[in-house]
Amino acid sequence: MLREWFTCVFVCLSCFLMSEKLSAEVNGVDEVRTVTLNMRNVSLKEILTEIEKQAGVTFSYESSLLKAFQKTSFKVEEAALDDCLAQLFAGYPIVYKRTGNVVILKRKPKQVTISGFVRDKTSAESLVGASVYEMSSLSGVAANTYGFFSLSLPVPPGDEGVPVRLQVSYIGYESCSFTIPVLKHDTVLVIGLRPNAAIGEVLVTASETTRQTVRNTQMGTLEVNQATIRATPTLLGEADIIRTLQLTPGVSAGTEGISGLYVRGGNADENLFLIDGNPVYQVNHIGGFFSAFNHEAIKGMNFFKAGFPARYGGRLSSVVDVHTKEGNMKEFHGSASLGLVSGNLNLEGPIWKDRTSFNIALRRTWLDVLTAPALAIVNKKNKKHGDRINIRYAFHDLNVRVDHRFSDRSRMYLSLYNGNDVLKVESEDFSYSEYVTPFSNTSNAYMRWGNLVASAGWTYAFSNKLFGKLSGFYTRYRSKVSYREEDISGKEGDPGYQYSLDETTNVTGITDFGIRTSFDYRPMAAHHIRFGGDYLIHYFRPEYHRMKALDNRLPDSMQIARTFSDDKLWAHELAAYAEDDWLISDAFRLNAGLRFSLFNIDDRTYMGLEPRVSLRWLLSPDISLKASYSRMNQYVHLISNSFMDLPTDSWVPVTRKLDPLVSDQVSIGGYYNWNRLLDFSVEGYYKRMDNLLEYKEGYSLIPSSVSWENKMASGEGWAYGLECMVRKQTGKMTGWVGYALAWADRRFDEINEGRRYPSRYDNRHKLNIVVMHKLSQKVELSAAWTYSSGNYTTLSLENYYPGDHLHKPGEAPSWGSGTRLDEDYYDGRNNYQLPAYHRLDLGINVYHPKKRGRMGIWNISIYNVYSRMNPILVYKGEVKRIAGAGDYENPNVVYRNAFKSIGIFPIIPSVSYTYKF
Amino acid sequence: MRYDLCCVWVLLSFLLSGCEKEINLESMRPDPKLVLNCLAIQGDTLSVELSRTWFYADNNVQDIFVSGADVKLYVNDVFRESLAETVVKYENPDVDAVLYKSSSYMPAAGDRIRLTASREGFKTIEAVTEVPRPCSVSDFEFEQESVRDTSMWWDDPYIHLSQKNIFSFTLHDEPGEENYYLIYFRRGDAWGKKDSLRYSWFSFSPDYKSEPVFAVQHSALDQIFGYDNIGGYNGLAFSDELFDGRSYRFKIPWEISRSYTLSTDYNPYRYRCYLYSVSRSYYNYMKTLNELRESGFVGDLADIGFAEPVRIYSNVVGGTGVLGGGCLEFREFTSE
Repeated sequence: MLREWFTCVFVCLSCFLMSEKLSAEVNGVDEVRTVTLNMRNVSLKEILTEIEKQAGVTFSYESSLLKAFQKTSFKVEEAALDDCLAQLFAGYPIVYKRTGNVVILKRKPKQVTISGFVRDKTSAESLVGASVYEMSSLSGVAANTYGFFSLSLPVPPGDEGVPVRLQVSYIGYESCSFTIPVLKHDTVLVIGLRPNAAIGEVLVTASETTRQTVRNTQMGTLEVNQATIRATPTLLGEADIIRTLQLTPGVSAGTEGISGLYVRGGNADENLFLIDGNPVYQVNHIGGFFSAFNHEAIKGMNFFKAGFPARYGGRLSSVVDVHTKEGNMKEFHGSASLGLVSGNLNLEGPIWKDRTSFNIALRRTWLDVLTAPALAIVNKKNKKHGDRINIRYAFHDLNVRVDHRFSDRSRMYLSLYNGNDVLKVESEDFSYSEYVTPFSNTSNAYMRWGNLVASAGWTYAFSNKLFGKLSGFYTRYRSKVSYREEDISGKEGDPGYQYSLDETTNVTGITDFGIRTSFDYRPMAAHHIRFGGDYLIHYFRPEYHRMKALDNRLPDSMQIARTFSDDKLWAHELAAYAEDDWLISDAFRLNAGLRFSLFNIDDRTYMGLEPRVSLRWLLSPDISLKASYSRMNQYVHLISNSFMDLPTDSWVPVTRKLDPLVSDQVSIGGYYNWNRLLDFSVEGYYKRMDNLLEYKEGYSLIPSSVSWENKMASGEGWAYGLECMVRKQTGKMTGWVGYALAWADRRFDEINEGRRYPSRYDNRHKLNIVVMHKLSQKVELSAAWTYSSGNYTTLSLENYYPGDHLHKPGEAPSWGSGTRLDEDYYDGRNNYQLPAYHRLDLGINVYHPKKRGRMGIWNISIYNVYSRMNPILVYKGEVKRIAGAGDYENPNVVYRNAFKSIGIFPIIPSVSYTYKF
Repeated sequence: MRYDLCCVWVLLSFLLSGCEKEINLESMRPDPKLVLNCLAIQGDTLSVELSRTWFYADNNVQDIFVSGADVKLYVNDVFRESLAETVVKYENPDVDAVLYKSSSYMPAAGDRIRLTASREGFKTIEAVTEVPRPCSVSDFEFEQESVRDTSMWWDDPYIHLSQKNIFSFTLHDEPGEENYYLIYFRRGDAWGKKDSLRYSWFSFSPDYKSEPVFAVQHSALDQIFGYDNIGGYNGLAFSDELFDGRSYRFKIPWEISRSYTLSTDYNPYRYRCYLYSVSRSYYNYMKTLNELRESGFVGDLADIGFAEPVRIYSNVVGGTGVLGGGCLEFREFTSE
């Protein structure tokens, strides 16, 4: 391992030295233009004169430029001319430009920086992405994740300061304006914005925020706040960020009912889910029917599907950056809600007013609360018959966050997330009064899977221009599935005593811990530099499989207690990044970044260099064109042999045999903001993915007898398409219309005979219409209509006789029991496209204001309003050929073979009630 | 009121609309493909079964076996012969199968066999396999423990027999190479007069899951959802991954219970164990068949559209089926 690291460092060093040498060779003459100075208590002019003598250059400047500076000392030895000049002018407000032998000196333009934090005035929560806009200079910035902003303004030559007209806005809040007649010095502000709607949070007013889509360099991004998540109608009324994202162009929802996220032709494991900056591996409950993100704990999220900033890395297709609520620093609030599936409790408030806050959100299914007493009654009744059964299923999500403000500049937080699914099935047959010999047969099935994410971080505004964050984190995903069957007959020690035990345990998991640093630096108005690094230690346990079979009637040689596989893998991941958001001119803005990553596992180190570039061309204040390129590397991936989220799914690393997944994506787009009301966007993209992994045909995670690495096939993928979106974020009616025309293909040498085939979720057309309308102060309606081309599926069209009777020489050939003679023949992977999918969901929120600011909210949702039975599969079945009253036993009724489609989700209404206090 | 009724009717029609619909896939009707099935067994005449695929929606499909084809045999890349067509009557089901047989060639361990088959109206197909070395097996052992209870039924004493059987053998695996095996058991039930007993043979499934090499095929998830049985009626394929290069002793138990009267003859069962070393192609083929027929939790998810379906392995290029190689080790033993 050391040798690999050494090689890597050596290569980097060599590259650096080579570039230095090349640079020197290009400059040619400068190699000999060295300067040696050791001058004490002299004027700057004297130093320049000496440099002119030694280097043969001439300085050109205004005569008044050097007058203001006091005498100084300066020392360099055998320094190259450029180094010497850089060192000399570093301490002066002077910029220089060298052309041949002439060095032109100019006064550095003076600038003042206005920085600070944007917060909710009532709770002191940071407002992520709030717009801070200076109207005189037409320059603006967005607040970062912690509400911090920094805006540098140039002071015109000869002026003492600069007049400032600042407008601060955020969706859902009243805009705030400040006027500072003359800003002479760097200033720090803490700006509080007041929510602009007492009831509901969807009604928002137009502001500069709405034009950010046009003005920033980001492509393929979407910012969604809690209000939008809550207002979107969903299955069983469970507000869900993933289901909200499914309604946007470029995101395929996957199989109906599942909270799938397949972004621009990517796979489910290619999405980086972050909670407060830390990765979450298992993002669903009940096999994928509900996402693990509790909307009550969420402040908002940023979703990226292209033009990824360099600060994000580790997944190919998307980033879902979820920010949790910090908690109210001023007063206590909370909410409690009850839906058809789960209940939710949220509490927030100050621990130390204006200093420390907490926010706790707990969501839990409550069905087992009903089943437990019901089963207890049944078991009591059945006790006399020697039966007992217990079934329990539950999931929960717990989000806890504590924030402490040391000062306006310094803040720290603790964040915890724990989400688990548990399924327990126990049954027992036991002897009762009629039996002389006691016995008991028990079976216990147990499944538990989920995440634990804990992190602690410290943020600090080092200066008006530099903001930093340091955090440490621990994240764990673990799944355990076990089955135990125990039979006891007689009493231990008695001659007829019998005891047998069968136990199987499967465990899979991943644990990460590490540290992250990130910095926001605004050296001048035109540059916003972000840089930082991560170091992670991964501990993988891809599959642990243990079996135990004991029977006191069998000889010792037949007692089994064996672990079939128990791989444990340690890996180290190191990443460093830097990006600059550079306003080149009023029209052009460039976000260029580089992410460098190292992943070390099994004595092998993979290195990834990921360039990211986004360019914006502002054609007018409301129209822009953008282009971006990004490369992404992925070192961990999920292996699953179903389209659901099962506890047997396993996160595994790249290994010596399996190279990292890589994607390259190019996007171009046009953006238009109409009257600060509507955002129009059109984006085209082309994405290529390498080293994608799939199970080879005929393999699955189990049995464990074959090493999981050998079960995987490595291949490539392509995705390209066009996405259009119109979004309205302000006014009584908000929502969006999105359309995507997309292609997504795959090719693996060992799958489909090496032929290219469409990805399962290659939905050619996808149209979403989402409307949220605030009918009155008390009633809010929402509707979401989805149309998409059907998913692809692997369908057998033909049948054939197998040859599994061939190894029985001398006997009459037989195809088993004779009930099934033929088998399915599959010609190609994903060879059939299901019929188009469409569905309408409706929702209504009714607000009941109560005394002292409390409120009751009724939510009624209807999923699939017109009960379209969207097919989820096509299967080979039979239909009656000759009608007649009868069934298979009636010889007059003849059946014929036919293909049939089946849909499983009809209209599903739901209701929930939330009480806010 | 009428308007209201109309609304209710529309709503009900949505609610009660069927979730299952017939789909006409006539536009996707594919051309049939040749199906070649052959297991080249060391020391046995080479016999190739040639059939075709058919479109599922077709009913009462005839002529599934393909006659009039040109089936060529190459051994170690040298053309050996064109196989001769014969018709063989299969008993279960009652069909006339078309087989193509070699006149004199008998596969030998290490032979590389290539078969091509062509017939007008079909794409030419080709498959290659190697005949593996015979299994190195020793110490075959059959242990049996019988318990008899007697009870009276009317005036006739009934004897209830419980037998615990363990069949053991030691497999000596070659180190440094991937080896594949196939095992299955048959039970012979006697009938006829005592001096001229005849046996009918049936596949049966011993308690494979007691043997770790086989048991590892199931996860706890399978057990929870009740998929913990291993049938293997038509042969259970396994590889040497858990005992590569070692001598491994297999112990396969099963239990039977039967009853008989003193007035009827007691004819003990006979058992046959077939143990093959097979080529990788035949192992893959049988393994996917095992998986398909014995399903499992994920297999059932595939049936409802939540997982990719299991596809039967094929090494036949241009069509489907399998060409495998095998060497048989056979044992027969009689119950007490």
